[in-house]
Amino acid sequence: MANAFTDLAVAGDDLPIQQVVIPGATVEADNWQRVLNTLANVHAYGQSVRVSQGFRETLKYNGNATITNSWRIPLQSTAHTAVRVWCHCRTANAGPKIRAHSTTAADSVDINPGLAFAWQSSSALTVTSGLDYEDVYLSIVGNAGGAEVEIKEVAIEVVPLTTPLAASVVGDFVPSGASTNGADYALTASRLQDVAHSIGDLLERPRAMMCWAAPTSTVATYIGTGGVSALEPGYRSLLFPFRTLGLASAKSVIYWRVTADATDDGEVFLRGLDGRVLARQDITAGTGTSWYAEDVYLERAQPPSVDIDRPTAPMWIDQSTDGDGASLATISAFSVWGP
Amino acid sequence: MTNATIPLSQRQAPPAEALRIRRPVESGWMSGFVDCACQLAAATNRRAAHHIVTWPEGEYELDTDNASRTYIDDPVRVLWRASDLAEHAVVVCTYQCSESTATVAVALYDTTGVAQDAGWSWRVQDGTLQVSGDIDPGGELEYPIAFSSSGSQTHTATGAGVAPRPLIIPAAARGGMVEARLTPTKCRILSVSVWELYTLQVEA
Repeated sequence: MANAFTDLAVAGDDLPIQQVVIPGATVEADNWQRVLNTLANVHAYGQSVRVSQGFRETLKYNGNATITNSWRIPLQSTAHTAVRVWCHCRTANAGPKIRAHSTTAADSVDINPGLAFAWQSSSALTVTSGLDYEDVYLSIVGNAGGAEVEIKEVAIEVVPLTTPLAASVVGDFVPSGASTNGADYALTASRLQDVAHSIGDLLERPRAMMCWAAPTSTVATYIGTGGVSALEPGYRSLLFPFRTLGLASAKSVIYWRVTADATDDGEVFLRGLDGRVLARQDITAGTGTSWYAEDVYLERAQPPSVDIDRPTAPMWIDQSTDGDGASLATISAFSVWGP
Repeated sequence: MTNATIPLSQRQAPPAEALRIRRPVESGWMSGFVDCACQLAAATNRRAAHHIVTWPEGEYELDTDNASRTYIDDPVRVLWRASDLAEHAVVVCTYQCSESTATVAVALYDTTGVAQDAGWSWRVQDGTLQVSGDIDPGGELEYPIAFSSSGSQTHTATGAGVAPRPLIIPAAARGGMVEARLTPTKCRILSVSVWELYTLQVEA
Protein backbone atom coordinates (compact mmCIF):
# COMPACT_ATOMS: atom_id res chain seq x y z
CA MET A 1 0.00 0.00 0.00
CA ALA A 2 1.86 3.00 -1.23
CA ASN A 3 0.93 6.48 -0.28
CA ALA A 4 -0.79 7.56 -3.45
CA PHE A 5 -0.84 11.25 -2.55
CA THR A 6 -3.97 11.63 -4.59
CA ASP A 7 -5.98 10.37 -1.68
CA LEU A 8 -4.72 12.59 1.05
CA ALA A 9 -8.02 14.00 2.17
CA VAL A 10 -8.05 12.98 5.80
CA ALA A 11 -11.51 12.95 7.29
CA GLY A 12 -12.47 11.71 10.71
CA ASP A 13 -12.74 8.11 9.62
CA ASP A 14 -9.23 8.21 8.17
CA LEU A 15 -7.37 9.11 11.35
CA PRO A 16 -5.26 6.44 13.04
CA ILE A 17 -6.90 4.77 16.00
CA GLN A 18 -5.31 4.36 19.40
CA GLN A 19 -7.43 1.42 20.52
CA VAL A 20 -6.00 -0.99 17.96
CA VAL A 21 -2.44 -0.45 19.19
CA ILE A 22 -2.32 -3.35 21.62
CA PRO A 23 0.72 -4.60 23.56
CA GLY A 24 1.96 -7.86 22.11
CA ALA A 25 -0.14 -7.58 18.98
CA THR A 26 1.05 -7.07 15.44
CA VAL A 27 1.01 -3.52 14.15
CA GLU A 28 -1.87 -3.27 11.74
CA ALA A 29 -0.73 -2.11 8.32
CA ASP A 30 -3.94 -0.16 7.80
CA ASN A 31 -3.50 1.79 11.00
CA TRP A 32 0.15 2.51 10.21
CA GLN A 33 -0.87 3.72 6.75
CA ARG A 34 -3.30 6.08 8.45
CA VAL A 35 -0.41 7.54 10.41
CA LEU A 36 1.58 8.14 7.22
CA ASN A 37 -1.37 9.56 5.32
CA THR A 38 -2.26 11.89 8.15
CA LEU A 39 1.27 13.25 8.42
CA ALA A 40 1.51 13.69 4.65
CA ASN A 41 -1.84 15.48 4.71
CA VAL A 42 -0.72 17.82 7.48
CA HIS A 43 2.38 18.73 5.52
CA ALA A 44 0.72 19.10 2.13
CA TYR A 45 -2.62 20.62 3.05
CA GLY A 46 -2.65 21.16 6.71
CA GLN A 47 -2.61 24.82 7.52
CA SER A 48 -4.82 27.82 7.68
CA VAL A 49 -5.35 30.76 5.41
CA ARG A 50 -2.40 33.10 5.90
CA VAL A 51 -4.02 36.48 5.38
CA SER A 52 -7.59 37.44 6.20
CA GLN A 53 -8.30 41.14 6.19
CA GLY A 54 -11.19 43.46 5.40
CA PHE A 55 -11.21 47.05 4.16
CA ARG A 56 -13.94 49.66 4.32
CA GLU A 57 -13.30 52.54 1.89
CA THR A 58 -9.59 52.10 2.34
CA LEU A 59 -8.88 50.08 -0.81
CA LYS A 60 -10.97 52.04 -3.28
CA TYR A 61 -9.20 53.52 -6.29
CA ASN A 62 -9.97 55.43 -9.44
CA GLY A 63 -6.61 54.96 -11.06
CA ASN A 64 -3.52 52.79 -11.07
CA ALA A 65 -1.93 52.39 -7.68
CA THR A 66 0.58 50.33 -5.76
CA ILE A 67 -0.32 49.35 -2.24
CA THR A 68 3.06 49.81 -0.70
CA ASN A 69 2.67 47.67 2.37
CA SER A 70 3.21 43.96 2.09
CA TRP A 71 1.94 41.01 4.05
CA ARG A 72 4.74 38.85 5.46
CA ILE A 73 3.37 35.38 4.89
CA PRO A 74 4.86 32.34 6.65
CA LEU A 75 5.49 29.43 4.32
CA GLN A 76 4.62 25.94 5.32
CA SER A 77 7.87 24.40 4.10
CA THR A 78 10.39 24.72 1.32
CA ALA A 79 8.28 22.37 -0.75
CA HIS A 80 5.47 24.89 -0.93
CA THR A 81 6.23 27.29 -3.73
CA ALA A 82 3.05 29.23 -4.35
CA VAL A 83 0.25 31.16 -2.71
CA ARG A 84 -3.18 32.06 -4.02
CA VAL A 85 -4.80 35.45 -3.45
CA TRP A 86 -8.55 35.87 -3.08
CA CYS A 87 -10.26 39.27 -3.25
CA HIS A 88 -13.88 40.19 -2.67
CA CYS A 89 -13.92 43.05 -5.13
CA ARG A 90 -15.58 44.84 -8.01
CA THR A 91 -14.90 47.43 -10.68
CA ALA A 92 -17.22 50.07 -12.11
CA ASN A 93 -16.06 49.36 -15.65
CA ALA A 94 -14.35 46.35 -17.19
CA GLY A 95 -10.61 46.57 -17.70
CA PRO A 96 -8.76 47.22 -14.44
CA LYS A 97 -7.01 44.33 -12.75
CA ILE A 98 -5.77 43.70 -9.26
CA ARG A 99 -2.20 42.43 -9.43
CA ALA A 100 -0.61 40.40 -6.64
CA HIS A 101 3.17 40.51 -6.36
CA SER A 102 5.68 38.35 -4.49
CA THR A 103 8.62 40.51 -3.49
CA THR A 104 11.45 37.99 -3.26
CA ALA A 105 10.36 35.67 -6.03
CA ALA A 106 9.45 38.67 -8.20
CA ASP A 107 6.38 37.01 -9.63
CA SER A 108 2.97 38.56 -10.24
CA VAL A 109 -0.51 37.28 -11.07
CA ASP A 110 -3.73 39.10 -11.88
CA ILE A 111 -7.20 39.05 -10.45
CA ASN A 112 -10.06 40.20 -12.65
CA PRO A 113 -12.77 42.00 -10.72
CA GLY A 114 -16.31 41.81 -12.06
CA LEU A 115 -18.90 44.58 -12.14
CA ALA A 116 -20.53 43.32 -8.95
CA PHE A 117 -18.88 42.40 -5.68
CA ALA A 118 -17.80 38.77 -5.66
CA TRP A 119 -14.92 36.57 -4.62
CA GLN A 120 -12.24 36.36 -7.32
CA SER A 121 -9.04 34.35 -7.06
CA SER A 122 -5.65 34.55 -8.67
CA SER A 123 -3.70 31.75 -10.24
CA ALA A 124 -0.73 30.46 -8.25
CA LEU A 125 1.69 33.21 -7.26
CA THR A 126 5.22 31.87 -7.03
CA VAL A 127 7.01 32.48 -3.75
CA THR A 128 10.63 31.86 -2.95
CA SER A 129 11.26 28.39 -1.67
CA GLY A 130 13.94 28.30 0.97
CA LEU A 131 12.77 31.27 2.98
CA ASP A 132 10.55 31.12 6.01
CA TYR A 133 8.26 33.72 4.48
CA GLU A 134 7.39 35.76 1.42
CA ASP A 135 6.26 39.39 1.26
CA VAL A 136 3.18 39.84 -0.91
CA TYR A 137 1.57 43.11 -1.96
CA LEU A 138 -1.13 44.31 -4.35
CA SER A 139 -1.40 46.91 -7.08
CA ILE A 140 -4.14 48.20 -9.38
CA VAL A 141 -3.18 48.10 -13.07
CA GLY A 142 -4.86 48.80 -16.40
CA ASN A 143 -6.92 51.57 -14.89
CA ALA A 144 -5.83 54.60 -16.86
CA GLY A 145 -9.49 55.24 -17.57
CA GLY A 146 -10.14 55.85 -13.93
CA ALA A 147 -12.71 53.18 -13.23
CA GLU A 148 -13.59 52.77 -9.60
CA VAL A 149 -12.00 49.60 -8.23
CA GLU A 150 -12.77 48.48 -4.72
CA ILE A 151 -11.50 45.61 -2.60
CA LYS A 152 -13.45 44.75 0.52
CA GLU A 153 -11.80 41.55 1.68
CA VAL A 154 -8.50 39.79 0.99
CA ALA A 155 -7.52 36.22 1.81
CA ILE A 156 -4.22 34.55 0.93
CA GLU A 157 -3.65 30.82 1.23
CA VAL A 158 -0.64 28.63 0.61
CA VAL A 159 -1.33 26.43 -2.42
CA PRO A 160 -1.56 22.81 -1.21
CA LEU A 161 0.77 20.21 -2.66
CA THR A 162 -0.78 17.72 -5.04
CA THR A 163 2.19 15.72 -6.30
CA PRO A 164 4.52 13.38 -4.44
CA LEU A 165 7.69 14.87 -3.08
CA ALA A 166 11.19 13.76 -3.83
CA ALA A 167 13.10 12.54 -0.82
CA SER A 168 14.70 15.07 1.48
CA VAL A 169 13.40 18.19 -0.18
CA VAL A 170 11.85 19.50 3.00
CA GLY A 171 14.43 19.22 5.72
CA ASP A 172 13.57 16.73 8.42
CA PHE A 173 10.18 15.95 6.97
CA VAL A 174 10.57 12.66 5.12
CA PRO A 175 8.00 12.32 2.36
CA SER A 176 6.19 9.02 2.42
CA GLY A 177 4.91 9.25 -1.10
CA ALA A 178 7.34 6.75 -2.53
CA SER A 179 7.43 4.37 0.38
CA THR A 180 5.77 1.01 0.48
CA ASN A 181 3.85 0.03 3.53
CA GLY A 182 1.65 -2.94 4.04
CA ALA A 183 1.16 -6.40 5.42
CA ASP A 184 4.25 -8.61 5.13
CA TYR A 185 6.56 -5.65 4.61
CA ALA A 186 9.08 -5.16 7.37
CA LEU A 187 8.58 -2.00 9.40
CA THR A 188 12.21 -0.99 9.61
CA ALA A 189 13.86 0.99 12.36
CA SER A 190 15.01 3.60 9.87
CA ARG A 191 11.46 3.99 8.61
CA LEU A 192 10.21 4.56 12.12
CA GLN A 193 12.94 7.11 12.70
CA ASP A 194 11.95 8.90 9.51
CA VAL A 195 8.41 9.18 10.78
CA ALA A 196 9.62 10.43 14.16
CA HIS A 197 11.69 13.10 12.40
CA SER A 198 8.74 14.06 10.27
CA ILE A 199 6.60 14.56 13.35
CA GLY A 200 9.30 16.67 14.97
CA ASP A 201 9.55 18.75 11.83
CA LEU A 202 5.81 19.27 11.53
CA LEU A 203 5.63 20.40 15.14
CA GLU A 204 7.90 23.30 14.23
CA ARG A 205 6.05 24.40 11.12
CA PRO A 206 4.59 27.89 11.34
CA ARG A 207 0.93 27.91 12.24
CA ALA A 208 -0.22 31.25 10.92
CA MET A 209 -1.92 33.41 13.49
CA MET A 210 -2.26 36.82 11.96
CA CYS A 211 -0.82 38.69 9.01
CA TRP A 212 -1.91 42.32 8.78
CA ALA A 213 -0.86 45.22 6.60
CA ALA A 214 -2.05 48.82 6.56
CA PRO A 215 -3.52 49.83 3.21
CA THR A 216 -1.13 52.63 2.42
CA SER A 217 -0.66 53.23 -1.26
CA THR A 218 1.05 55.42 -3.82
CA VAL A 219 -2.14 57.36 -4.46
CA ALA A 220 -4.95 58.61 -2.29
CA THR A 221 -8.01 56.45 -2.04
CA TYR A 222 -10.96 57.47 -4.10
CA ILE A 223 -13.24 58.33 -1.23
CA GLY A 224 -12.44 61.62 0.37
CA THR A 225 -12.41 60.27 3.88
CA GLY A 226 -8.79 59.32 3.41
CA GLY A 227 -7.38 55.87 3.87
CA VAL A 228 -6.27 54.86 7.29
CA SER A 229 -2.59 54.28 7.10
CA ALA A 230 -0.48 52.89 9.83
CA LEU A 231 -1.23 52.23 13.46
CA GLU A 232 -0.43 55.36 15.35
CA PRO A 233 0.54 55.30 19.01
CA GLY A 234 -2.36 54.33 21.21
CA TYR A 235 -4.30 52.53 18.48
CA ARG A 236 -5.56 49.39 20.15
CA SER A 237 -8.32 47.84 18.14
CA LEU A 238 -6.34 45.02 16.60
CA LEU A 239 -7.53 42.54 19.16
CA PHE A 240 -7.19 38.97 18.06
CA PRO A 241 -7.31 35.61 19.84
CA PHE A 242 -4.62 33.00 19.66
CA ARG A 243 -5.47 29.40 20.18
CA THR A 244 -3.03 28.23 22.77
CA LEU A 245 -3.81 24.52 22.49
CA GLY A 246 -2.16 23.81 25.78
CA LEU A 247 1.27 24.75 24.49
CA ALA A 248 2.72 25.68 27.83
CA SER A 249 6.02 26.93 26.50
CA ALA A 250 5.49 27.45 22.81
CA LYS A 251 7.53 30.23 21.30
CA SER A 252 6.06 32.13 18.42
CA VAL A 253 7.46 35.07 16.50
CA ILE A 254 6.15 38.48 15.56
CA TYR A 255 7.44 40.44 12.60
CA TRP A 256 6.59 44.12 12.64
CA ARG A 257 7.17 46.68 9.98
CA VAL A 258 7.71 49.99 11.74
CA THR A 259 8.47 53.50 10.56
CA ALA A 260 10.58 55.29 13.15
CA ASP A 261 9.99 58.83 14.28
CA ALA A 262 12.53 61.21 12.80
CA THR A 263 13.83 62.56 16.10
CA ASP A 264 12.41 60.57 19.02
CA ASP A 265 13.02 57.00 20.05
CA GLY A 266 9.95 54.85 20.59
CA GLU A 267 8.85 51.28 21.13
CA VAL A 268 6.13 48.93 20.01
CA PHE A 269 4.40 46.16 21.95
CA LEU A 270 2.34 43.05 21.57
CA ARG A 271 0.23 42.76 24.70
CA GLY A 272 -2.12 40.31 26.30
CA LEU A 273 -5.61 41.41 27.16
CA ASP A 274 -4.54 42.30 30.68
CA GLY A 275 -1.83 44.59 29.37
CA ARG A 276 0.99 42.17 29.95
CA VAL A 277 3.80 42.64 27.43
CA LEU A 278 4.30 39.58 25.25
CA ALA A 279 6.83 41.16 22.93
CA ARG A 280 8.41 44.58 22.60
CA GLN A 281 10.76 46.28 20.21
CA ASP A 282 12.79 49.44 20.58
CA ILE A 283 12.53 51.78 17.62
CA THR A 284 15.47 54.09 17.19
CA ALA A 285 14.74 57.57 15.90
CA GLY A 286 15.65 58.29 12.32
CA THR A 287 16.01 54.68 11.19
CA GLY A 288 13.27 54.84 8.58
CA THR A 289 11.02 51.86 7.83
CA SER A 290 12.20 48.37 8.71
CA TRP A 291 10.97 44.90 9.55
CA TYR A 292 11.81 43.74 13.08
CA ALA A 293 11.39 40.27 14.58
CA GLU A 294 10.77 39.35 18.20
CA ASP A 295 9.94 36.13 20.03
CA VAL A 296 6.48 35.80 21.56
CA TYR A 297 5.91 33.50 24.52
CA LEU A 298 2.31 32.43 24.68
CA GLU A 299 2.47 31.28 28.28
CA ARG A 300 2.76 34.91 29.31
CA ALA A 301 -0.61 35.67 27.81
CA GLN A 302 -2.61 34.36 30.79
CA PRO A 303 -5.59 33.79 28.56
CA PRO A 304 -8.93 34.84 29.94
CA SER A 305 -10.91 32.11 28.28
CA VAL A 306 -13.55 33.21 25.82
CA ASP A 307 -14.45 29.64 25.17
CA ILE A 308 -13.99 27.09 27.88
CA ASP A 309 -13.21 24.16 25.64
CA ARG A 310 -10.87 26.02 23.33
CA PRO A 311 -8.59 28.27 25.32
CA THR A 312 -7.56 31.39 23.56
CA ALA A 313 -5.33 34.28 24.38
CA PRO A 314 -6.67 37.59 23.14
CA MET A 315 -3.86 39.96 22.24
CA TRP A 316 -3.54 43.40 20.86
CA ILE A 317 -0.90 45.53 19.27
CA ASP A 318 0.14 48.66 21.09
CA GLN A 319 2.62 51.40 20.51
CA SER A 320 4.18 53.71 22.94
CA THR A 321 6.71 56.44 23.04
CA ASP A 322 9.88 56.92 24.97
CA GLY A 323 7.92 58.42 27.81
CA ASP A 324 7.49 62.00 26.73
CA GLY A 325 4.83 61.30 24.18
CA ALA A 326 6.92 62.65 21.36
CA SER A 327 7.61 59.59 19.22
CA LEU A 328 5.31 58.98 16.28
CA ALA A 329 6.69 55.58 15.38
CA THR A 330 3.99 53.70 13.51
CA ILE A 331 3.38 50.07 12.65
CA SER A 332 2.45 49.53 9.04
CA ALA A 333 2.35 45.73 9.02
CA PHE A 334 2.81 42.80 11.33
CA SER A 335 2.69 39.03 11.24
CA VAL A 336 2.51 36.63 14.15
CA TRP A 337 3.02 32.94 13.78
CA GLY A 338 4.42 29.96 15.58
CA PRO A 339 4.20 26.24 16.13
CA MET B 1 -16.73 0.99 17.64
CA THR B 2 -13.33 2.59 17.64
CA ASN B 3 -12.65 6.26 17.25
CA ALA B 4 -9.58 8.36 16.93
CA THR B 5 -9.07 10.48 19.97
CA ILE B 6 -7.43 13.83 19.63
CA PRO B 7 -5.01 15.02 22.30
CA LEU B 8 -5.19 18.79 22.59
CA SER B 9 -1.78 19.16 24.18
CA GLN B 10 1.19 18.75 21.91
CA ARG B 11 3.02 15.43 21.87
CA GLN B 12 6.62 14.76 21.01
CA ALA B 13 7.49 11.95 18.64
CA PRO B 14 9.09 8.81 20.08
CA PRO B 15 12.84 9.38 20.51
CA ALA B 16 15.23 7.92 17.98
CA GLU B 17 16.93 5.75 20.61
CA ALA B 18 13.68 3.87 21.08
CA LEU B 19 13.60 2.97 17.40
CA ARG B 20 16.73 0.93 16.79
CA ILE B 21 17.52 -2.21 14.83
CA ARG B 22 16.95 -5.40 16.81
CA ARG B 23 15.11 -3.54 19.54
CA PRO B 24 11.42 -4.36 19.79
CA VAL B 25 9.15 -1.42 19.12
CA GLU B 26 6.93 -1.10 22.11
CA SER B 27 3.24 -0.50 21.70
CA GLY B 28 3.62 2.66 23.75
CA TRP B 29 5.80 4.17 21.05
CA MET B 30 3.42 3.05 18.34
CA SER B 31 0.59 4.63 20.27
CA GLY B 32 2.74 7.75 20.46
CA PHE B 33 2.93 7.90 16.67
CA VAL B 34 -0.84 7.66 16.50
CA ASP B 35 -1.30 10.39 19.11
CA CYS B 36 1.11 12.69 17.30
CA ALA B 37 -0.56 12.21 13.94
CA CYS B 38 -4.02 12.85 15.37
CA GLN B 39 -2.87 15.85 17.38
CA LEU B 40 -1.10 17.45 14.42
CA ALA B 41 -4.02 16.93 12.06
CA ALA B 42 -6.94 17.82 14.27
CA ALA B 43 -5.57 20.11 16.97
CA THR B 44 -2.36 22.00 16.13
CA ASN B 45 -3.20 22.37 12.46
CA ARG B 46 -6.92 22.70 12.79
CA ARG B 47 -7.69 25.63 10.60
CA ALA B 48 -8.48 29.14 11.66
CA ALA B 49 -8.80 32.62 10.19
CA HIS B 50 -8.13 35.83 12.07
CA HIS B 51 -9.75 38.68 10.22
CA ILE B 52 -9.20 42.38 10.87
CA VAL B 53 -11.42 45.03 9.28
CA THR B 54 -9.58 48.27 8.55
CA TRP B 55 -11.74 51.41 8.70
CA PRO B 56 -11.03 54.93 7.50
CA GLU B 57 -10.00 57.38 10.11
CA GLY B 58 -12.69 59.51 11.65
CA GLU B 59 -15.56 59.22 14.01
CA TYR B 60 -18.38 56.79 13.54
CA GLU B 61 -21.89 57.38 14.71
CA LEU B 62 -23.63 54.07 14.80
CA ASP B 63 -27.21 55.28 14.81
CA THR B 64 -29.37 55.36 11.72
CA ASP B 65 -29.36 59.11 11.21
CA ASN B 66 -25.72 59.71 10.53
CA ALA B 67 -24.35 59.77 7.02
CA SER B 68 -21.00 58.46 8.18
CA ARG B 69 -22.52 55.08 8.84
CA THR B 70 -21.99 54.09 5.22
CA TYR B 71 -20.26 50.73 5.31
CA ILE B 72 -21.08 50.18 8.97
CA ASP B 73 -23.64 47.56 8.01
CA ASP B 74 -21.65 45.97 5.22
CA PRO B 75 -21.27 42.23 5.68
CA VAL B 76 -17.84 41.05 6.76
CA ARG B 77 -16.70 37.99 4.86
CA VAL B 78 -14.09 35.67 6.31
CA LEU B 79 -12.76 33.16 3.81
CA TRP B 80 -10.82 29.99 4.54
CA ARG B 81 -10.27 26.54 3.10
CA ALA B 82 -12.19 24.15 5.30
CA SER B 83 -10.31 21.00 6.14
CA ASP B 84 -11.80 17.58 5.54
CA LEU B 85 -11.85 17.14 9.29
CA ALA B 86 -13.92 20.23 9.94
CA GLU B 87 -17.44 19.70 11.23
CA HIS B 88 -18.09 23.02 12.95
CA ALA B 89 -16.49 26.44 13.21
CA VAL B 90 -16.39 28.72 16.23
CA VAL B 91 -16.94 32.41 15.47
CA VAL B 92 -15.64 35.18 17.73
CA CYS B 93 -16.18 38.85 16.95
CA THR B 94 -15.11 42.22 18.32
CA TYR B 95 -17.39 45.15 17.56
CA GLN B 96 -18.82 48.51 18.57
CA CYS B 97 -22.54 48.82 18.99
CA SER B 98 -24.84 51.55 20.27
CA GLU B 99 -28.50 50.67 19.86
CA SER B 100 -30.92 48.23 21.39
CA THR B 101 -32.02 46.98 17.97
CA ALA B 102 -28.52 46.09 16.81
CA THR B 103 -27.89 42.58 15.48
CA VAL B 104 -25.16 40.59 13.78
CA ALA B 105 -26.34 37.68 11.63
CA VAL B 106 -23.80 34.90 11.16
CA ALA B 107 -24.00 32.31 8.38
CA LEU B 108 -21.81 30.12 6.20
CA TYR B 109 -21.56 30.39 2.40
CA ASP B 110 -19.44 29.05 -0.38
CA THR B 111 -17.53 31.42 -2.66
CA THR B 112 -20.41 31.61 -5.13
CA GLY B 113 -22.82 32.83 -2.48
CA VAL B 114 -24.72 29.58 -1.87
CA ALA B 115 -25.71 29.24 1.79
CA GLN B 116 -24.19 26.24 3.59
CA ASP B 117 -25.53 27.00 7.07
CA ALA B 118 -28.27 29.57 7.65
CA GLY B 119 -26.72 30.31 11.00
CA TRP B 120 -28.01 32.52 13.80
CA SER B 121 -27.78 36.06 15.16
CA TRP B 122 -26.23 37.90 18.02
CA ARG B 123 -28.84 40.39 19.21
CA VAL B 124 -28.89 43.08 21.85
CA GLN B 125 -32.39 42.05 22.83
CA ASP B 126 -31.14 38.56 23.67
CA GLY B 127 -28.12 39.79 25.56
CA THR B 128 -25.71 38.18 23.13
CA LEU B 129 -24.66 41.56 21.72
CA GLN B 130 -23.58 44.34 24.02
CA VAL B 131 -24.59 47.97 23.69
CA SER B 132 -21.52 50.00 24.37
CA GLY B 133 -22.40 53.58 23.40
CA ASP B 134 -23.37 56.56 25.50
CA ILE B 135 -21.42 55.46 28.51
CA ASP B 136 -18.66 58.02 28.55
CA PRO B 137 -19.03 60.13 31.67
CA GLY B 138 -17.61 63.08 29.78
CA GLY B 139 -20.78 63.22 27.74
CA GLU B 140 -19.31 62.37 24.35
CA LEU B 141 -20.29 59.26 22.52
CA GLU B 142 -17.73 56.55 22.77
CA TYR B 143 -17.91 53.01 21.61
CA PRO B 144 -15.77 50.66 23.66
CA ILE B 145 -14.95 47.43 21.96
CA ALA B 146 -17.18 44.53 22.93
CA PHE B 147 -16.69 40.84 22.36
CA SER B 148 -19.12 38.05 21.43
CA SER B 149 -18.58 34.35 20.81
CA SER B 150 -20.58 31.54 19.30
CA GLY B 151 -19.34 29.25 22.05
CA SER B 152 -18.26 25.72 21.28
CA GLN B 153 -21.40 23.77 22.17
CA THR B 154 -22.23 22.21 18.85
CA HIS B 155 -25.70 21.63 17.41
CA THR B 156 -26.88 19.64 14.45
CA ALA B 157 -29.68 21.86 13.12
CA THR B 158 -28.77 24.09 10.20
CA GLY B 159 -32.00 26.11 10.10
CA ALA B 160 -31.76 29.79 10.88
CA GLY B 161 -32.10 30.59 14.55
CA VAL B 162 -31.09 33.15 17.08
CA ALA B 163 -29.15 31.09 19.62
CA PRO B 164 -25.42 31.41 19.02
CA ARG B 165 -23.71 28.15 18.14
CA PRO B 166 -20.71 27.08 16.06
CA LEU B 167 -21.38 27.14 12.35
CA ILE B 168 -21.96 23.76 10.77
CA ILE B 169 -19.69 22.88 7.85
CA PRO B 170 -21.55 20.39 5.65
CA ALA B 171 -19.55 17.42 4.41
CA ALA B 172 -19.86 18.62 0.81
CA ALA B 173 -18.23 21.92 1.67
CA ARG B 174 -15.20 20.46 3.42
CA GLY B 175 -11.96 20.79 1.51
CA GLY B 176 -13.20 23.84 -0.36
CA MET B 177 -13.20 27.56 0.33
CA VAL B 178 -16.00 28.65 2.62
CA GLU B 179 -17.07 32.06 3.84
CA ALA B 180 -18.28 32.95 7.30
CA ARG B 181 -20.46 36.00 6.66
CA LEU B 182 -21.29 38.39 9.46
CA THR B 183 -24.05 40.82 8.52
CA PRO B 184 -24.35 43.63 11.06
CA THR B 185 -27.15 46.08 11.70
CA LYS B 186 -26.12 49.25 13.55
CA CYS B 187 -22.93 47.57 14.58
CA ARG B 188 -19.34 48.14 13.50
CA ILE B 189 -17.34 44.93 13.26
CA LEU B 190 -13.64 45.29 13.97
CA SER B 191 -12.33 41.76 13.90
CA VAL B 192 -13.52 38.20 13.47
CA SER B 193 -11.82 34.97 14.38
CA VAL B 194 -13.00 31.64 13.08
CA TRP B 195 -11.59 28.26 13.97
CA GLU B 196 -12.67 24.77 13.21
CA LEU B 197 -13.96 22.22 15.65
CA TYR B 198 -13.71 18.51 15.37
CA THR B 199 -16.00 16.62 17.69
CA LEU B 200 -14.00 13.46 18.24
CA GLN B 201 -11.34 15.27 20.14
CA VAL B 202 -10.88 14.66 23.83
CA GLU B 203 -8.71 16.22 26.46
CA ALA B 204 -5.71 14.02 27.12
